[in-house]
Amino acid sequence: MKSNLIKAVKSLAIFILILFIADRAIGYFIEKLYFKQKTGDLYQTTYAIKQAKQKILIFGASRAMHQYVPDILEQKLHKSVYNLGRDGRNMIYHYTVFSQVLTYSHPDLIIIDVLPNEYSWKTRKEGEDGMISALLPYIDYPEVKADIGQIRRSDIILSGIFKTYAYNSNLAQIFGYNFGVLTASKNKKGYEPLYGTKLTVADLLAPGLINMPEMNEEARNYFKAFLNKAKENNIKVCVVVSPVLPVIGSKNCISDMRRITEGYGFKFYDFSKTGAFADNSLYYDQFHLNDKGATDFTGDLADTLLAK
Amino acid sequence: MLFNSFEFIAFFTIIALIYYLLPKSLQWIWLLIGSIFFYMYSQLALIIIPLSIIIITYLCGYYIEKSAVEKRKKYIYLAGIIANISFLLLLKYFNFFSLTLTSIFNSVNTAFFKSAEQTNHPFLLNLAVPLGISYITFQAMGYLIEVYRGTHPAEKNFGHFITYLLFFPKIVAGPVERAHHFLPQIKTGKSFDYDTIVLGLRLMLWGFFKKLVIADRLELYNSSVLDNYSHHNSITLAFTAVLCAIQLYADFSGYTDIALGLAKVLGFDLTPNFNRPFFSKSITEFWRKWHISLSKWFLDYVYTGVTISLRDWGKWSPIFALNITFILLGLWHGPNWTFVIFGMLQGLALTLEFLTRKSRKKLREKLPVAVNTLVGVFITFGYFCFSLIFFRANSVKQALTIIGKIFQASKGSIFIGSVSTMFYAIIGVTILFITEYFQENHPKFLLINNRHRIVRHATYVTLILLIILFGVFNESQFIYFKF
Repeated sequence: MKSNLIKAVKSLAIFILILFIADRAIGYFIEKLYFKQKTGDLYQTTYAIKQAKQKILIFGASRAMHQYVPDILEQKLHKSVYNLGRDGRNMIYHYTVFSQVLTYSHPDLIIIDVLPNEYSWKTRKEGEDGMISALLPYIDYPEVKADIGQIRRSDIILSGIFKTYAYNSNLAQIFGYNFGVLTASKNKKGYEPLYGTKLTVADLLAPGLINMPEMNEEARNYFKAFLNKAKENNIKVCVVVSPVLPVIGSKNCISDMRRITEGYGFKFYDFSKTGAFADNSLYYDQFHLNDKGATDFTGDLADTLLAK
Repeated sequence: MLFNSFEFIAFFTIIALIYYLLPKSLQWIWLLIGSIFFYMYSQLALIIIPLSIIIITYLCGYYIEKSAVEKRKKYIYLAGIIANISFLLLLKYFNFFSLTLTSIFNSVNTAFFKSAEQTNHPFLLNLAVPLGISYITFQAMGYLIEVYRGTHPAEKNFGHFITYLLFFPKIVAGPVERAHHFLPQIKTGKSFDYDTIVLGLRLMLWGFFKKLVIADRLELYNSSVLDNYSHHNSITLAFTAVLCAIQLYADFSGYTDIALGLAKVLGFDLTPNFNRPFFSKSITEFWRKWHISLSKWFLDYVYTGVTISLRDWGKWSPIFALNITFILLGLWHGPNWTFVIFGMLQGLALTLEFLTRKSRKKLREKLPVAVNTLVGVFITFGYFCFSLIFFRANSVKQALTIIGKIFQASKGSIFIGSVSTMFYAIIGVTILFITEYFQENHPKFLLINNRHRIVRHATYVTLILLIILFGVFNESQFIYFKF
């Protein structure tokens, strides 16, 4: 028993040492590559966390990233603009990123793109997973750490033990953007255009009604918290539902978001049913405008902002 | 408390450390306390149900053995079996049968009496299904059958008996452990054995890899397709059917490896549940390698019994027994017609294989071994993937729609979704299949069990870092937990 125990302790110690060294070495290497990126999804977050000092900031998921052209807004509104949109993220992510931006910057205006069914996350977990996987590399920032800790304490523990854990599920993108396998636009201030269209005949014949799960109260609370944070910091917010081809379920969601937004004294614009964007040639797919559509839409949005 | 959660890791560490510090005679008591805590942590009040099943089964077993009168023995045995089945039917299947009967009644009513307005509403029970109920009742029934047949003595120590049925590594999703295999192990105390513990930890590591890197990653893709199946084309749905099969295997065999590993760390051997089923050359072989403990249970206690009692039917006796066995095996998974059809499809394939065994043997002799193997593996895997559409679907209608769309051969390219999700999944699946290929064909080629410490440690470190970098850490449930 005693010799067995000594053997076990010795083996365990050697194993932990090897694991620790391997994890740290690989972790530092990946970290270097991660922060070397100058384009792509991950860089969008790095930029937002560290240096988004423009006067107008755009928040949102893929429909923000691919549909708002900062150059057009800058031209018309005469203020610096940056698009902080990132694919597949929702309000949990936007809220934390916004909190972090406020630690070093004070924008004049926030434009936030919301889905017509913004509250209808399939599950709260999906939003949390998206936020955590995007923000773990920035765990050293107190705002980020506090928000992640509130959602899932185990992630804080794991990233404390394993340096590599912060880059969980991001390796393909880190290598892809560093070694030229993946490419993204440069100098577009966060805007990532989509060119042409991949709409199929079936999409055009029957855009249909996309049914989404019912309202999620937690998602609604995050939306309110975002607006509340802006209000507390005297920052104007403009909530926008950008154009979309299919009819996405739940009118209640849009009217509720409008009510909440206006309750805070902010502007709410719904472009989802604007006739000007019923033209299929402006769409890359059912949910995203292509570059031409994005240019037209951003121009319209800038005019609307100027008019009001 | 899920195996892939921090709470469980903390719980198990405490259990294992104290277990080896205790005198051997007290170890089983500690395991029993741990198992009850594990159960009550998830379902505090519902522990009463497994405890009732255990008490009834224990008493029945005791009195079956004690009774000298054959008739009385039989009545006690039947009472025990009926009690177990009643628990299972009431808690898991009552609403299913109530809905089915009401629907039949309403259809007859409409068809023959034209009174569609007067539809009857089913009587439904709003009962919580206790954790691992199917596994507990099946082990309990297996025990009673063995005691009644006289192939296993009734357990006298009630504490040992509860520990057998509540043992936490296997309570939620098996394996379906036989009394003669497990009970003697409780009676012997365990000493701290470095090699056994390392074996257990290796199994757990491989299980976590299968669960976190493969199954949970594939779930991201599969659910994104199946949640919107009406919007996807045939090639995407067919591809998803294949991935669902791999996901189910990685999930369930991953769980089993963890369960076996946990038990091994505590000095127990549980029955392996999988033996590289995707290398099977026929459905018959497949069911000898997939969920082994359950299919063996059905083989021993249902198939054999039905075959013997219908031996006058000649060759139709095993065919009937096969089909009944697999319908029940399908239904065991849950109260849904999808599972019944899944079972029927297995029965159908096995029947065909049984009826064509001679002609297939002749054909095999004419073909090279490699061709035989490839064709056999391809057809078996393809058929299992197809039948799994019913297993995975929420309803028969959904399954038929998916199958209809697959065979419509609609145009369009395959949906990939998130490229990185697919990339990580492919890495995991490739590692799994290469490993299993070597285990199947070159068993001497070892990495995790290599005799050189450097190779072994390098393999552990690589697996752990792969889990950390590519695993999905959202503490998702194991698929078989719901059965």
